Amino acid sequence: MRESRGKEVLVPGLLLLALAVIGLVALLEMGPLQILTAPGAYPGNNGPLGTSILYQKLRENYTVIPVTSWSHIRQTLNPCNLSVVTIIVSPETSYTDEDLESINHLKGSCKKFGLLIADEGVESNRVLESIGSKVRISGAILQPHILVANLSTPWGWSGRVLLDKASRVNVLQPSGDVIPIGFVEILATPVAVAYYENVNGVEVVVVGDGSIFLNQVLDSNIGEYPLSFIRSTVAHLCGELGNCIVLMEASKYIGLDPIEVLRSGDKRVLGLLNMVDLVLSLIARLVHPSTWLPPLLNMVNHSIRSLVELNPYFKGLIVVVGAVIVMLVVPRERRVKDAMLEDVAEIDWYGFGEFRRHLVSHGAKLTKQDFITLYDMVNTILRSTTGSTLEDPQLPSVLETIGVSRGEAETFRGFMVKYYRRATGKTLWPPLVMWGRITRKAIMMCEKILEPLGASITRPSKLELIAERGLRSSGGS
Amino acid sequence: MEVVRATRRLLALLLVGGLLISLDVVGVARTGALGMAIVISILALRVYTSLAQTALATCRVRGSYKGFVEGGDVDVEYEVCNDSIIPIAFVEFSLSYPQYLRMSKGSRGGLIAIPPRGCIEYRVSFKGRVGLHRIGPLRAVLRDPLGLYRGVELNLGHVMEVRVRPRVSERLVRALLQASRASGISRSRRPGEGVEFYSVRDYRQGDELRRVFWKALARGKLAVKEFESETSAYILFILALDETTLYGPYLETPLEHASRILATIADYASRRGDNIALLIMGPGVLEGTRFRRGRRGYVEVLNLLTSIDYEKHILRTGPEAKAMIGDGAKIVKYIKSMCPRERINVIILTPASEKTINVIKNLTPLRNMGFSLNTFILIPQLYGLTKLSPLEVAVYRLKVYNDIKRAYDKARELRSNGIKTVIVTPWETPSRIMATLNSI
Repeated sequence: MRESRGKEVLVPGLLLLALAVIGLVALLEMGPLQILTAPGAYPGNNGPLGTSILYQKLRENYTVIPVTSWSHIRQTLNPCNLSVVTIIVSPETSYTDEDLESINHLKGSCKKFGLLIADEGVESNRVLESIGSKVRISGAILQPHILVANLSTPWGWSGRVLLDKASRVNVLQPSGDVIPIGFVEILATPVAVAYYENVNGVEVVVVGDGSIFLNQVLDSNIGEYPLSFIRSTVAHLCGELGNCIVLMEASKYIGLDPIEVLRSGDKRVLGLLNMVDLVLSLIARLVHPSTWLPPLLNMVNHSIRSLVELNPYFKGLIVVVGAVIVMLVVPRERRVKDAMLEDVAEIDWYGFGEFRRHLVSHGAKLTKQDFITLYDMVNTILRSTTGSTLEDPQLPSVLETIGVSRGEAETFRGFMVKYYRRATGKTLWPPLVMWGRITRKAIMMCEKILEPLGASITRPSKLELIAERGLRSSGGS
Repeated sequence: MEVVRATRRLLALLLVGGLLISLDVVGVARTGALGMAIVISILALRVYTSLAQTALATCRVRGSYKGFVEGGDVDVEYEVCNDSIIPIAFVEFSLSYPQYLRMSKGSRGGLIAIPPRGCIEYRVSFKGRVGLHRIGPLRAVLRDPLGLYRGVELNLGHVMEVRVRPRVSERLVRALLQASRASGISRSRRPGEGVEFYSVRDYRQGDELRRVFWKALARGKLAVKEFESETSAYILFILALDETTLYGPYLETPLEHASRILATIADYASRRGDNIALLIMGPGVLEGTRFRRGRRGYVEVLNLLTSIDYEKHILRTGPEAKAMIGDGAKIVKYIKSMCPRERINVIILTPASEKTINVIKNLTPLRNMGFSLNTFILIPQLYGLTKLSPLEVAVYRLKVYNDIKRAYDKARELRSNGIKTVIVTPWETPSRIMATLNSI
C-alpha cells in the first residue's frame, strides 16, 4: 500500500525553483528567439510586400500550408496521397540541398505535383534545376519596370496583367513540352516572361515577376487579373478540387530583429512592416531569457567583483554571510540516520526452542537432574513392559527372558541404581561424579536394554507411548 | 511531509564545499571552483532525488504468485515499471512476508535501479506451508548515488494473500479404503451393496451368478448370499490451534502434520460417502464448514485448512481471545448449530497445551447428546526430535520429558471427563487415527 498522498508534498518548492532555473538555461541554450518579422513576400507578412492576401484568398478554396521547413513538411506529408501545388514567390535566400531533396521527395511521392514560381530573381532557379525543368529566370530586370504582359495559358485563361520589375524567362533547350504563356513588348519586340512546362508529368508554371502576387497589387484595383490568373493556374495544377493542398514558401525570407528595426528608425523598413506584428514580436523578444538573463548575470558578477576589489574586508563579509545562510538553511533540512531496511527474520518455533538451538549449535551440558529424569523414564518403561523396576533385584532375570544377557542386565541395573542413589543424596559415594559423562554412558546402556523392548531413546519410537502406559498403570506421573 | 530527507553525510560534504569556497574568497587557495562544484553537485543530487522519488512513488507495480501445494515452491513475482523519463537509482528494497515462512530461492532484499520507461522483475520462491500467508508489499527506500539524500520509505505493490493447501497422502487414503472394505464399516442392518454378510435367501431371476451360495447348491437348493448395505457416517473434525502447533522444524510442525492427516482422512471419508465438516478452534476464533457429503465436503474441509490464517487463528492474543477459549457453552452451541443431527462422530486433533485441552474439556456436554468424542493429543515437543543426531535425540528427550509427562496428565484429565483420548507421536498418528476411524 502506498503512503497517503494527501499528507506529503510530492513536488517541493525547491524542486520547482530548480526546474524553473533548468528551463531558463535550456531556453538560453536554444539561442535567441527567431522572430519572423520579414518585410518580403512572406505569407505571414501583411505589409504591402507580403503575400498574406494571396494566402487568405487561396484558403477560401484549398488547404494552404505556409512551409517554414521543407524537411518538416516532407515528414508531415508522408505518405502523401494528395495533389500538391507548391507556390514560390520571390524567395530571398538560397535553397539548400536538403530543401531540394525534400521538394523532390514530395514530387516523387505525392499523387500529383505542380509548381508555380513567380520570381524576378535567380533563387528559384535551383528548384527548377532540381526537378529537371529547362526553364530559367534570367534575373536581369527588364526596362522599363512597369510593363503590361499578355498571358494566355493552355488551360484557357487569357488576360493582361501589370508587371513591376519583371525578369526575362529563358528556355535552355526549346522543346514541345515548354510553352511560352506570357509576353511583354519591349521596343516592339516580344519578350517571354512566363512559361508552362510539363516535366515528366510535373506541371510547372514560371512567371518572371513575383510582384503580381504581393499584397500591394492584390489589394489594389488592378489585382483582379493577377488573382484570377493564379486561381485558374492553381485549379489547373491541382486537377481535382478537395483533394489538393497548396504549399506556400515561407522559409526563404530574411527575418528582422524588431529591436534592431526600431533602433535603426528606418522609415522605409518600418513602412513595410505591420506595426501590431512588430510590437508583439518586440514583447516576445524582450521576455525571452536570451535578452535579459546574460546581461543580468553579467551585472551581478560585475557588482560582486567590483565590491570585492573595492574593499578587502568584503571577502570576509561574504564568508560570514555565506556561513550565516548555511547555518540557517542546514538546520531546516531534516537529517535522518541512513539505516538499512530490516529484512524479515525467519524463525522456527520449538517446544524447548532455546535449548534445542543450543543443543544443535554447541551440544548440550547434561546434569545430575538429567540422570534422574533418565532413570525415571527408563523405570517407567520397564515397569510398563516387564512389570519390574530398576530397584527390583529380579530385573536382570526378567530381562534375560526377553533376550538381554544376564551380565549386561546386572551391570546396567547396578550402574543405574548406584548413580541414582548418589544423585538423590542417599549416598555420598562415589565422591566425585562427572554427571555429563555418566548420563551419556547411561543413555548408551539404556539404549541396549530398551531395544529388545521395542523402545529407543535415540530414535523416534514408541517410547513416549510406552511411558504413558506405564504411568497410567501406576496411576500417577 | 517532505519526501526526501538529508542524511548525515550531507552536512559533512556541505561543510567541505563551504570551506573550499571560503579559502578561495579570503585568498588562501584557489579552491573556489571545486567548492562550487561540490555545492552544485549537492543541489543537483537533491533535485534528482526528489524527481526520482516522485517517479518511484508513481511506479506501476504488479504482483503475482503461483504454487499452491504444501512443500512445493510458491513463486512470487513483482514487476515494477517506471513510466517516467527519470532513471531511478538506487532503490533499496525488502520484501515483507511473515516470519514463519521460509524463503527457498532469491533474496529478501537488495539494491535495484529502474531505467526510464523500463521495468524490473523481482522473483523469489518460498517453501509452501499450509495456510493463508500475506506476502508483500515491497518496502523501498530511494537514495542518490552518493547517499546524501534518502527518500521516505514507500510500499510498492499490494499485499498478496497466498493460500497453500495441505498435501494428501494417496497411499494412506488407499490403505484406509482397503481397511474399511475389509472391516465392512458403517453397517446399515439392511441388505444391499456391501461387503458384510447379511443373510441367505432363495434365488430370484436377475441375481448375479457370483452371489450364488454354492454350499446350498451342493445340497440341491439354489440360493444367493445377501450383503449388508453400507451407509454414510457423520464425522466432525475439530482442529484445536494455539502457538504450540507451530513448534518443530519447518513443514514438520503439529499444524502441518494435523492438516495433512485431516486432508487425507477427509479425502478418504469423502470417497466413502460420509458427511463431513471441519471446525477450527483458535484463540478466540471458531470457524467451521457445513456438513457436506462426498467430494463437496472434502473441498470445503480443504478450503478451510487452506485459509488458516496464522495471525488470526494461531498467534492471536489479547483479552478477547482468552475470553472465548474459556467460554465452553458458546463452543458447544456453535458445534450444535453446525450439526444437522445428534449422534455425530467427533474427531479432535489438539496439541497437548493447557489452553486447548481446557477448551476440549468443555465439550463434555456433547457426550450427553450422543456425540462420540475421540481426541488425539499431539505432543508438540516431540516434533523437535527430527533433524537431530541420535545422541541429541536422547538429550532432547530427557529435557522435554517433564513437559511430556504434563501432556499425559492432560490426557488423563480428558479421560476422566469421559472423552476418549489417545496420545499420539508424530510418527504414528495416522495409524492411530485410522484405527479409531475404522472403529466408528
